[in-house]
Amino acid sequence: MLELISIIIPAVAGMFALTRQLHMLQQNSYYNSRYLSWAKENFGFKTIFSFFLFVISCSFISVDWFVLSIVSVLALIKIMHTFSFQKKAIKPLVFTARVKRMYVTAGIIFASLCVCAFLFENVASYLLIAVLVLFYFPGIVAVSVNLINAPIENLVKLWYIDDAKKKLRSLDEIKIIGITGSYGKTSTKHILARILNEKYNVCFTPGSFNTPMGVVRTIREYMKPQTEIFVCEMGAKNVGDIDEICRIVKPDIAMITSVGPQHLNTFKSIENIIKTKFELADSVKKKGGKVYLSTDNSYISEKSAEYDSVTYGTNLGSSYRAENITCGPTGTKFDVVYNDNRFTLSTKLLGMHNVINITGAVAIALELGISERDIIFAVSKLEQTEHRLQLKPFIKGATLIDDAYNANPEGCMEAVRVLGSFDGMKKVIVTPGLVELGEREYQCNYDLGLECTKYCDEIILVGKERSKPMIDAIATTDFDKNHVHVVASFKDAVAIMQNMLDSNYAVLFENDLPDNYAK
Amino acid sequence: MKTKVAVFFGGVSVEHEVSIISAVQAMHSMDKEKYEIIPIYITKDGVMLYGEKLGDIETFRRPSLETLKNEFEDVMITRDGESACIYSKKGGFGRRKPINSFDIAFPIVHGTNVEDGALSGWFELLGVPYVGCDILSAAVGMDKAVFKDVLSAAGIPVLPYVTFFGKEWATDKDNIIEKIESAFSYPVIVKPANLGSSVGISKAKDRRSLEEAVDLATSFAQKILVERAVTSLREINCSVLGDMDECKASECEEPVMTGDILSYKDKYISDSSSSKGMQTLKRKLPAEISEEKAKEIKDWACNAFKAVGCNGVVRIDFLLDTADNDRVYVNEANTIPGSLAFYLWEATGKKYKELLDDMISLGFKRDRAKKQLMFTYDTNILDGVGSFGSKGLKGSKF
Repeated sequence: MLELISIIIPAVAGMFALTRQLHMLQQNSYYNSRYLSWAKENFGFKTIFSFFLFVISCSFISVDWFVLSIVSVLALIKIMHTFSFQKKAIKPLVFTARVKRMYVTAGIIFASLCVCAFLFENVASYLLIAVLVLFYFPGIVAVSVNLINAPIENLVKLWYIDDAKKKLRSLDEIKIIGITGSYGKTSTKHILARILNEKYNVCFTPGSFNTPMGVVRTIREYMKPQTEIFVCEMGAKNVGDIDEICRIVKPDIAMITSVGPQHLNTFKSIENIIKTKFELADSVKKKGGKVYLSTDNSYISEKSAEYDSVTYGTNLGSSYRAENITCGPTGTKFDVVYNDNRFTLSTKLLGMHNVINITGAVAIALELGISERDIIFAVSKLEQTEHRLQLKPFIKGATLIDDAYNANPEGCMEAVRVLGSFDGMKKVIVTPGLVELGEREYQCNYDLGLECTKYCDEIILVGKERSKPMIDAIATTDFDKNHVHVVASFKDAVAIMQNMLDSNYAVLFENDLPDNYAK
Repeated sequence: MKTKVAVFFGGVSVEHEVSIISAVQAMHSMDKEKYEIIPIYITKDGVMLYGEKLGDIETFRRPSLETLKNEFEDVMITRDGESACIYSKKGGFGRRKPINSFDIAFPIVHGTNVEDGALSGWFELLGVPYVGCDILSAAVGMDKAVFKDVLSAAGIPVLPYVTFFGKEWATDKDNIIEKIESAFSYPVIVKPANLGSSVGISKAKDRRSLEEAVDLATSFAQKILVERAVTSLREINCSVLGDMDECKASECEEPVMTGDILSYKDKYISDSSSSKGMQTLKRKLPAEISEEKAKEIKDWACNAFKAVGCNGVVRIDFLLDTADNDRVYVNEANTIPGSLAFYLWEATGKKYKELLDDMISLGFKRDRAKKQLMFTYDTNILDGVGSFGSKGLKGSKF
């Protein structure tokens, strides 16, 4: 009897202890491999102590009262610990159907061990050891339950896909726009959805829900019966990924924003990337829909003739063209030109990539019957992203371009060019240069230094050591050394600017700035 | 998958029955392929009833509407996450499950306590998209005096008026009469400021009938409006459909009067056998007016619609002073007109089904535009302030 109780108690406590492990498994998107590397990182005193207690429990396995008391105390601690941890967690375990199914499987395992121990007394102590293993190391339960449930989860996934398809097909008047590209697809999606919103009920994949299951979830959770347009971002890491999403959503309109060497390690070659992105165009062509391609990307423009596509961008031959692009303290202004029409847009967003993305979104919006008046309004209301070429008022009435979160070399060069396009204003850059680029670091900073001499009036470099490559680059030009300042911290940079700035200055904060200085 | 439209009708209003007729008509005409209709009937004492049969006029053919409460579920509506949910008042264990939910609310109600923005305000609070005018435009449309003020500020012609409250009349009658008599000569029209369907309106030919008219009006409303009676007049009505972005006017109609002014009886009772509401009123449609006059009226109708900031379908009623070269005055607005003025739109070739479709789209459009605006800041000013106890806010940033 005592023996039976001493097996039931750890079994029940094991179910509670599982919570924390499932919690971590959930935060690792149910990947056993990711979960295990988390467990490895968190390997420490607790695990060793558990192992120690486990060995003691096993060595006294025949002394019922001893095992029972040690297990009872520990069970109580574990149960309490589970509750307090879930209460404190920033993002506690979400009891989804999947998690519930895992609890059920774990429950069956524990229960069958207990029942067996009751039926077959001769092996009871072995079963007790088995339960103790699971009790002391609940991670083992989590991983096995995850493995056991995998085939079921697969079926559930198929059911979800099927359900999403059914829901989508039940909306017979819905127009589906697929957007893909190596970069720019997320911002283009937001811009397009914002413009279409003036006339239609729009549903779009939120955040970066751009995998097949992310799209399925969007359809099932966010799509409403009154939805008229679905803007679907499609991401890819492997050949066939886009096709898989296309087979679910069957898009009517395709848009490819860019092709570049992203996820090259999984794609193997740039040809594979191009092929994958154009899976979207193939799917839409089959349905007789229109394909929108950016002409500002050489990989894409090579293919545009093949698809009888609608082109957009800054190039002269584009069907929808951005012209007369100017920047200033209020943002960017440009004309969209198509057929014989021309109209002017202004936006708070800065940067050539935004102009191109807006032009693409406008092309589709016009096709879907949004009036120029509505487009002008929606574009003027586009929201800036925090610390990404974000326009803000600065001290002494100067204008600040906050690009603090930009750490990629191409993006930094573009930011400097954006600053350069603020006609008639004095231009200041504040930057510590680029970091964590390995071998390329010196060359990238050198290039950035050269670019700054072309467009800036004042260069403020943060960090003596760090700014060396840029100083080297500036030394090769005839840029006036009196306008180069090297300071130890951003605080010092702000101090210099206190005496320098007036309302005719534009200041670019480039890369890695703590927020409090950007005010 | 169909869009769930909850049609709200009835309400604590003298125009309760008219609203039932308008709502049932509309529910019959709505596109059943596209919409799932959920009737929500508000009883005369403000209880909300739920049930499919409430969409059928036969349900309401009974000696007393009171008995409906015994047959239909008494519900409450609150917001749950993204949608507005309907809950039964009957209990259950734990957290209640909604019995239904809806995507958009469609109020088809007339008169005070509902059409005056009360219902719109409730939808705003629920955070659910809804059809028709918002709080302000509905409230302005309901109060005839405020409506005239807004219109005259926008340069739209209205008849001048004198206004006062029932209590002032009871205590300061002579002064008010003097004020009226110095402003206008008899006959004058006396109206309760916030009632529709001509309830409580009468014409006064002299001081004695003025007192009678005001006494009648004060039993319907607290605020009274008196204006010059246009003795030789024509009434012309025109409907407007749209929102602040764009709107268009319908055909004009001329209702046919049996007495001095178009009465409640004319509007709803004279052809009682069919109980079909505004659409059966005797009228000339289109009104027999010149093309220029029609255009003038339509333009003023659109201007009034925008000045008040309406949404959906509104009917604007005009007076033509035939003694003064058919001079046009805007008389009043109905922000939820009887029968939703569909007959005026059918005359322009728009089917009732399409009209309802347009109205629902406009409701969703306003909701989208509203969601683009900022209503909350991410920073919580209460965070970090510390306790509001003895030390209070002294030590803080405030």
